[in-house]
Amino acid sequence: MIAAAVFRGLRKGLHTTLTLAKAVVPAYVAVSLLARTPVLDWLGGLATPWLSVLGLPGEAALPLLLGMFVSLYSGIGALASLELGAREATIVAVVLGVAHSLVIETAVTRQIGVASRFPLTLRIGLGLAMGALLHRVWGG
Amino acid sequence: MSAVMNVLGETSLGAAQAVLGIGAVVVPLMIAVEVLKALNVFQRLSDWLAPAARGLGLSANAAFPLVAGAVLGLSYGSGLIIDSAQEGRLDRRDAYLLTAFLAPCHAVFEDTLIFVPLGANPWVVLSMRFAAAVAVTLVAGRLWAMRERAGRGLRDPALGKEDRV
Repeated sequence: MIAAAVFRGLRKGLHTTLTLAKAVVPAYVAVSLLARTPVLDWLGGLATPWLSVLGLPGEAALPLLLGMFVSLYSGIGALASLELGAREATIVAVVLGVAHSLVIETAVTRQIGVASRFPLTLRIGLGLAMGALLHRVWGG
Repeated sequence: MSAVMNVLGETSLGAAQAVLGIGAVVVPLMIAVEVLKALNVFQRLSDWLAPAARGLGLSANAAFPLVAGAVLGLSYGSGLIIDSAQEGRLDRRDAYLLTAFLAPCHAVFEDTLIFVPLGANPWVVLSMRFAAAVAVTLVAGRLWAMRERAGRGLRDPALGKEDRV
C-alpha cells in the first residue's frame, strides 16, 4: 500500500513539475531576454517608488505581477532570472505566498459560496502589508 | 554570432535550473502527501486539531477542509473543500472563516519550499503566513458576530450576491 502511494506520488510529482515547467520556462526566458534590453530598466524605473515600500528593486514588479495574476510559477520563473538577495527573495515569497494565481484560486472560494471580492481584496492587501512589515522588521 | 549563442546557452541553462529546483521540491512533497493520505493522516490530524478550529470560531466539521487547504492548497485540496461545503457540513460562517484563514495560508509547504532554491528563508515565510491567517480569522469571526448581533448575519454585505446558500 505504501509502495503504491510512493509510486503515485512520484508520478504526480513528475507530472506536476512538467506542467509547472510550461509556466516557469517562458517567464524565465522572457524576463532574462528583457533584462538585456532597456525595457526592463524602464519598467523597473517606473515601479521603483512603489516597490521601495516593500524594500524591493523596481525590476521585481514583473515577478510580482506575473505571480499574482497569471500563476505563482510564472512569477517564480521570472524571479529566478533576476538575481535577488535572501532578504528580497523572502519578501517576494511572503507577498506571492499570500497573493498568487488569484484568477484561478478565487474560483474555488466562489464554489463554496463566498463572493470573490472578499478573498481578492484580502489577499492583495494582506500580501502587500506583510511584505512591507517584513521589510521594516528585517532591517537591511 | 557567438554572443547570441552565449545568451541562448545561459538562458536555457538558467531555465533548466529553475525547473530542476521546483522538481526537487515538488516530487518529494507529492510522494510525502500520497503516503500521508494512504495512512489516513489528514483525517486524524483534523480530528486532533478540531479544538484548535473551534478556538478560531470554526465548527469541528471545518477542521478537515482547513487542514486539507492549508497543507494541500486550494487547487489540490479544493475537491475536499467543495465536497464538505456541498454535503452541508459547512455553514455560512464556516465558509467565510475558512476563506479568511486559507487566503493567506494555503499550500504552505509547497508554496514556501519552492522559493527556497531562490534564496528565501522558509521559517520566516511559514510563520508570517500562519500568524496572518490566525489574526485575519479572529478578526473576521468578530466581524461576523457583530453582524449577527445586528441581525444581518444572513445578509452579509461583505459576501455580496452569492450570499444565499
